[in-house]
Amino acid sequence: MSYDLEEQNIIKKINEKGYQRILLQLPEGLKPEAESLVPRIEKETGASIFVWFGTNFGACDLPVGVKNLNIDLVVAFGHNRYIKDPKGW
Amino acid sequence: MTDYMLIPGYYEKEINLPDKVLKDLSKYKKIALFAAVQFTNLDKIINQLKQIKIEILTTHGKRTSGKYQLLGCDCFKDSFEDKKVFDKADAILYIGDGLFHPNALLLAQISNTKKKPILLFDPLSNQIKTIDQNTISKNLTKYKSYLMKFLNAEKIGILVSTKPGQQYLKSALELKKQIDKECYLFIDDTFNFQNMENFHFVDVWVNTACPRIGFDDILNTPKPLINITDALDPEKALKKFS
Repeated sequence: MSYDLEEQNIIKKINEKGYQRILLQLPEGLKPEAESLVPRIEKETGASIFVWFGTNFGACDLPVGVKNLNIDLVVAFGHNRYIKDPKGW
Repeated sequence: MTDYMLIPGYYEKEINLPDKVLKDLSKYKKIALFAAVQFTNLDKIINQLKQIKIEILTTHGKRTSGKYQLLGCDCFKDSFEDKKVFDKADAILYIGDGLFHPNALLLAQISNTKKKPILLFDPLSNQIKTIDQNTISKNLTKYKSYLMKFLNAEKIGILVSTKPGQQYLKSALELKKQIDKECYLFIDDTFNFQNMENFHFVDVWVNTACPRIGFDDILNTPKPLINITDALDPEKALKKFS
């Protein structure tokens, strides 16, 4: 792995805030990383870790409706902040 | 309240241009530099280019704040902070893998008389290649035919996405109000275009979600599809794509 997935920052945030349910969203190329990310983060935090099954086209494509599942934190990999113009494209 | 954390996944190795690539680039005086977010640590490359007396132009896409960065949706003439970046540069150098982002650089130059060469350097394979308008010609030809079909269409299906950064309901309602065609509004998260077949009464579909849907996906949609900006101003669109 040549990309910095900031695992320690994620673990620190979960432990500091006491988050219980975490959803990881990975772009296509990083989806296989779920295999090792899930058990490692679970072990270090004791939180329940879920993985988004669907698309991750960009920071424009964050999962909606996960509040219903009591997800405390969504960790979206592969993107930085997206600036949307509310007036349109 | 759900909290969100964005992890760009920065590339951890130093990015260097091989000597052969530097030799190829030495014929240019001014190069505009772009990169995918993972590869935006370009200090080494900038030094290498400066050493061979190349002036580097830097800007970024309007939908992102990262230095050198562009997104796939930064595919319009006015998509960059420096609106004249393509006029000023002799060539464009993109650092990253895949074609999704660099094709935006081709699309952004569609209506420019002089289109600047685009070179792609992939730090993973250490390879460089060039793309030009031929790369997207098939999509452009199809898109032009879809624009014509839109003008003659009677019933329009407008697609609205629930994805937070792709939800432009306002534009969809604006189109419905503006055009003299029967409009139906459809909502989904990720569009499975085969579902178009369930609504056979729709002549032409209009996408309001991601501008690249009306470009990358049109080769595989069962019905014609155009983008919202072009549906709102089809005459301007025909000129742009002619």
